[in-house]
Amino acid sequence: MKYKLLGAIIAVVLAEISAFLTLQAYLTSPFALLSQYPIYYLLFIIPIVLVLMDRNPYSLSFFAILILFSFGRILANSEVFYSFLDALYFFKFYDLSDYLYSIFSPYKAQDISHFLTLTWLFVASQLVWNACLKAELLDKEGFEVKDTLTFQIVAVSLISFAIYAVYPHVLNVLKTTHQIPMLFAGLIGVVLFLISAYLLIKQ
Amino acid sequence: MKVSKTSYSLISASLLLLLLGLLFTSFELIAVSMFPLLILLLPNVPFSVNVYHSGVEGGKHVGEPFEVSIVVNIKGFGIIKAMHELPEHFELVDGKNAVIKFLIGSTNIEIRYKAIPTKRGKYKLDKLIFECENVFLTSKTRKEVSLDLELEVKHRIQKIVKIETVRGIARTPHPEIDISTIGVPGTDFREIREYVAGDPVKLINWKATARTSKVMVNQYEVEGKKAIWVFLDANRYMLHGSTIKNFFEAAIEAANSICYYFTTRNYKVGFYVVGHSYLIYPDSGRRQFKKISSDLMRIEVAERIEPLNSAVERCKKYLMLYKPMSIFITRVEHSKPLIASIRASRMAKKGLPVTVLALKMLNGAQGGDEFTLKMIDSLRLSTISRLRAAGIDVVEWNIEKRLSETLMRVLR
Repeated sequence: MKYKLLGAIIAVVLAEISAFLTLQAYLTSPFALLSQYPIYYLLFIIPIVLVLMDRNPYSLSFFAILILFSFGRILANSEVFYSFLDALYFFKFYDLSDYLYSIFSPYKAQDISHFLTLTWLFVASQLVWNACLKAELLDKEGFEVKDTLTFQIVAVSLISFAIYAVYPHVLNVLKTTHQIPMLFAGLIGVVLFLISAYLLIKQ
Repeated sequence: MKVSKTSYSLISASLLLLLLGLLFTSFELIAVSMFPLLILLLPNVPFSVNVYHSGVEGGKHVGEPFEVSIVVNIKGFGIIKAMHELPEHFELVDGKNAVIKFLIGSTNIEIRYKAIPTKRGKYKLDKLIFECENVFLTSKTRKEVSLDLELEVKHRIQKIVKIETVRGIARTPHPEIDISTIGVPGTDFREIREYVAGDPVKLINWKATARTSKVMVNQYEVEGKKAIWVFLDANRYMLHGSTIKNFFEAAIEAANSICYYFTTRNYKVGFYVVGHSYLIYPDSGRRQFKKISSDLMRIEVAERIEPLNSAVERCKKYLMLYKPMSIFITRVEHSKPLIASIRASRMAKKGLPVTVLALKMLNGAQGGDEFTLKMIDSLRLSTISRLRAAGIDVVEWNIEKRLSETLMRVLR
C-alpha cells in the first residue's frame, strides 16, 4: 500500500500544479469573461476526489478537462472557430458572432508551452503512477523494490524533463528549416491516429 | 503484441490531443500530441549477461532441501528482472528465485534460494530468464541464458533395521529355493546377536562380548539363491491424491525401498510395472537396484489399464523358473488382486508366498463426498478380507504415515 500511496501523492501534486497552471491560463483567456461562476475551483478538487475514490488522481479525463479549460487561448487560431462564427452569422446571430469575434480575436499568438507543460506533467504522472503500482505488486510478491522505484522515479523525471526541454526547440527547427507542408503533417497525423487506434484495440 | 498499461495511457493522451487538434485545426495541440509518443519511441537499451557462478547443493531425495546459488554480471540500462525457472514440483522454502534491480551500466546479481523437490525425477534447472524493462515501463526485452544445472531426485530409501533374529515359524515362508538359513555366510554384515551352541568361534565379536558380559557373535548375510518379484501397479487409478502425496508416488517409494532391501541382500529381484507392461529381468546386486531405481525415476502413470491377471500371465515363465516371493503394490479396491495373487502363488507345486501391499489414504485428498469415501473403504476392506481368506498375506499402508514401519511387516 505504501508504494501506491507514494504514487498517489506524487500524482496529486502534479495534478494540482497542472490545475494551477490551467487556472492561470483560464483567467487570462476569453473564457473567464464568459463565465460568471468560479467553476475553476473544481480543478483543484477533482484530483483529491479521485484519490479518495482510490483511482488515479491525474486521469486522462482530468487531463482532458484541463485541456478544455485552457482552450480559450488557442481558439482564435482555429479555422473551425471562424466557421462557427460564420454559422452564427448565417443564422442571424450577428451580435453574438461579433461579440465572440471581438473577445477571442486578440489571442492569436501561437504558443505551445502551456499545453506542452500540461502534457509533460500528465505523462510524468502516468509514468510514476504506473511505476508505483508495479512496485506495489512486486512488493506483495516479496521483492525488495524500494531502491529500484527510487531510481526509476528519478530517471523518469530527468528523462521526461530532458525531452520536455528539448522538444520546443526541435519543433522550431522542423518548423523553420524544413517547412513541413501541411498536407504531409496531416498525413503523419492520420497515420499516427490509425496506429494509436490499432494499439488501443489490441489492449 | 501486448500494450503495457503505461503505453496505453501515453497513446490515449496522444490520441486525445491529436483528435482535438484535428477537430479544431489547432497547430498547438497537434504539435504537443507527439510528445507522449516520443516517450514511447525511446528504445530499450540492449543488455548483456555473463554468468560468473552457478551451483546446486543437496536435494538428492524427495523432501530434502537444496540450495541454488547463481551469480551473474549484467550490463545495460533499465529495470532488470532475473528469474531462475523451477519445475512445477519444486517448493520454495527460503529466498527467492527471482531478483529485481535497477540497472545502470554494469552490476552483479546474485540469486540464492532454497527449495524442496516434491516429486522424484531428473530435473533440468538450466533456464535463467532475464527481462529488461525500460524505465518508463513501455517495453521490455527478454533473454534466456542456459546454465549447466541438473538435479536428480530419488525417493529416500527406507532402511529396515532388524534388531534381532526371531527364531520360529515364519508367517510368510521365504521362496522355495531360499536356502538362507543353511547358506554359507557372506561378507555383508547383518547384526550382532547372542552366541548359540554351534556358532563358529571365529564369528565371536570380542569387543561386544566385553561390553555386554555375554558372548556375542557377528551374523552375516548368507549367500544363496533367493528371488523376489515386485509388481508395481502404475494404472491410472493410482494417480489419486495431491501432486505431492498420491498413491503412485507412495507405491514407487515402497517399491524402491523393497528393491533396495532385497537386492543388497543378494536376492534376485524381478520387477514388473503393471500398466506399462514393462519388465525388468531378475538379477541381484547393486547394479540391479540402480537399474530399477533409475527406471522408477522416469515412470509415470500409464494411460491404459492393465489387469494384474495379465501382468502375472506375462511374467509366468519367470515366476515358474525362479519361483519367487511375489509382492503386489497396489490399491486393492481398484485392482482386485485376488485371482492374480492366487495364480502367482500357484506357480510352484508347494505354493509360493505372495504379499499384497495395499495402499490406503484415510484423511487425504481422496476426493468425493463422505458416502463415496465410505463405499471405497468398505470395498477395500472386503477385498482385503477375501485375500486373507485365500491365504494371501496383506499388509495395509496408510500412505500418509511412515513407510518404514509397514516395510518391517512386509519383510519380516
